[in-house]
Amino acid sequence: MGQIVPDPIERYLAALNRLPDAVLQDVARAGAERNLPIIDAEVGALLRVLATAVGAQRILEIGTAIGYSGIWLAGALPPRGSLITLEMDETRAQIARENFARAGLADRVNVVIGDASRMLHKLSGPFDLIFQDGDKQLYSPLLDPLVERLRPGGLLVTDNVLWDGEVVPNFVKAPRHPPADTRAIVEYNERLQAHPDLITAIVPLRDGVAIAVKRGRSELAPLLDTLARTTQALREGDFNDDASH
Amino acid sequence: MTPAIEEFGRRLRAREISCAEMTDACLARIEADNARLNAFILVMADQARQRAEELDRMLASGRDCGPIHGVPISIKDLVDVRGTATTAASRVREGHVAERDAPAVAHLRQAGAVLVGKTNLHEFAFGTTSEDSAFGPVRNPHDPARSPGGSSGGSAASVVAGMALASIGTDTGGSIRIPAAACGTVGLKPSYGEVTTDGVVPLSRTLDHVGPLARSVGDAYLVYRALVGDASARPPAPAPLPQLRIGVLRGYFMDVVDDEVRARFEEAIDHLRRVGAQVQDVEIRHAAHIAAIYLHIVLPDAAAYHAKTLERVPDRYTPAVRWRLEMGRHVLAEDYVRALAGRQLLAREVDAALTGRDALVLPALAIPAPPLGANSVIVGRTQEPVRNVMLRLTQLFNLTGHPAISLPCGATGAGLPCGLQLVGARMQTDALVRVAAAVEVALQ
Repeated sequence: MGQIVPDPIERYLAALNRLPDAVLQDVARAGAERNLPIIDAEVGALLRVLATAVGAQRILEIGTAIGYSGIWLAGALPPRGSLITLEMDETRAQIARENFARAGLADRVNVVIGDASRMLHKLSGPFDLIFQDGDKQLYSPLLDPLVERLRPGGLLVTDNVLWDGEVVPNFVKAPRHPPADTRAIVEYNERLQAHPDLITAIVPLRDGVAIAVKRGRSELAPLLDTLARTTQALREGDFNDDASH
Repeated sequence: MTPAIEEFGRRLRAREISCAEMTDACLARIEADNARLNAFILVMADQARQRAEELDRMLASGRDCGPIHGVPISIKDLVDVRGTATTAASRVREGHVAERDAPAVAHLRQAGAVLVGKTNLHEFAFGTTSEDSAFGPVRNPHDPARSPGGSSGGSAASVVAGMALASIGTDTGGSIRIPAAACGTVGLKPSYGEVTTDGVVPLSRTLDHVGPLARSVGDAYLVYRALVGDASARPPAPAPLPQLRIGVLRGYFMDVVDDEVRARFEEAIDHLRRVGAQVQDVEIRHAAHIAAIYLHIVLPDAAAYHAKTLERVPDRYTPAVRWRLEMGRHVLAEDYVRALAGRQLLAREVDAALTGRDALVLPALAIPAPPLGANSVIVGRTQEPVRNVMLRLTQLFNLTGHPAISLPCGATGAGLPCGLQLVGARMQTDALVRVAAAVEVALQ
């Protein structure tokens, strides 16, 4: 359990959550047994909601682990959608591939092994949603490259931005996290809020989730406005009368 | 205008010029001017010379293919010519090679044409200015800072600059007639279905037409006949002017027209009246809906054809064409159906306007050639998007399938050509061409 929301409330939220399926519960159990850093079901549900809300067709994830969050994300994709997920650890990536296959999502998920800071330049956008859950010290250096690959109106979602409360000086009596990671997250949160292309809100769910939407309209938007006006004009025409006029 | 093909044919058979000399003259014009005009994507110099020499030998041995024998013709790079890439002026088509000629091109070869090259165009024929092209913009021979019109811009430029005696274009909303008007040449869109569109990259299969651009009505007619497989056509006899009954399309069609284009048009109408034509004003009742009906058909048709490449390689399109194609995915089926109903109604209204008349007449292009890069132009007192205003007077006859021809009709003070458009009854292209031949003579 995290440090942000009181445990009884977290238990209440967990009990309400009806979304996970058998594969997800199985993967969560395996993750817990091996003490692997995976998100919680409540954050998973939030990811599913956000990906569905933006009609995501292309999603990028930094930090696959064993595919738990990826299953939540990919489950929101249409049949021809795609999730590209980056993982540095080869063993975890292999387990993730097996889990995606068990969840019936192998056709739309591509697990890429490698360091995000090296792999990212090979990936071209635009993505509808990017989930950042990788190396905390890379949060800041990767921010601009990720925003570049996001479509206007797309979401950059970042996990662990409250870092068990350690981002607040002196809030946690005995900090567990390496101070360099904590400093990296503090810096990242400030850059997120100040980023000219983003509008950001932080949800204190579990370990804190930052949700940032990229400003601006797509190049298509003004064309669709014009089309809408033309469609309105078309609908006002009565074409069913005949040539007797 | 000099009837280039007819004149060449006369001199060829009088042994005053050879096919090889005519082809060399066109290739020399290409060599001299193509860097400036960017009219050609591919120049087929060696093949053209070889073919011209072969045609000279044929003629020497008594084999005459007909009026197109030895005529250098350029082909819009949307049409398959065997062994060459049909680029459609797009990076999306990289690596494509046509295995065989489009049937219309095969007919041209049988008629003795010399193919000099593939002309530049607006990418996938989806635009009216020929500036969104993977090979760079085509420039207007009258003013290189201006568009030659489009989408068959390279075709029109090649004919006007003497790089070919005629060109094959395609017309889905005006893509033959618009560049013909903007460059000051003749462009003929035959009736729908007359010239096969097989082997032509489609934009909208129910609106697409193939036809010629040439320097005179007679030349355009001879190439049009060759395209349908008639290699031995004779130049059309002009219809007798004093008995011609012509309907002038007013209302919507004259509401958004540049002052100088309007003046040249009204002068032409006055002149036709003076030489005895019976000229009456006519209106198309649902004309105000033409653009909306057209858009709701062409957009989804184009998006359907491009759906796979839009998903796979969206960045290979020029941005403007890509976003226009994407728009098509946002048209509801019910609006497409509504547009189809509107299209039928418009066809009946054009038929009715032609009842008891030989042709309808209107400008071919509401503005002179626009500057390259312009998104909007001032027409009268209003600012209009370039694309809308350029399609405004031609797209109706793609919806209805009536044959239509654009011919030169004077120029603006700055020397930019204006075009006059004549429209005939469906499947009566020959009759329309006879009217156009008479009007051409009257306007000279």
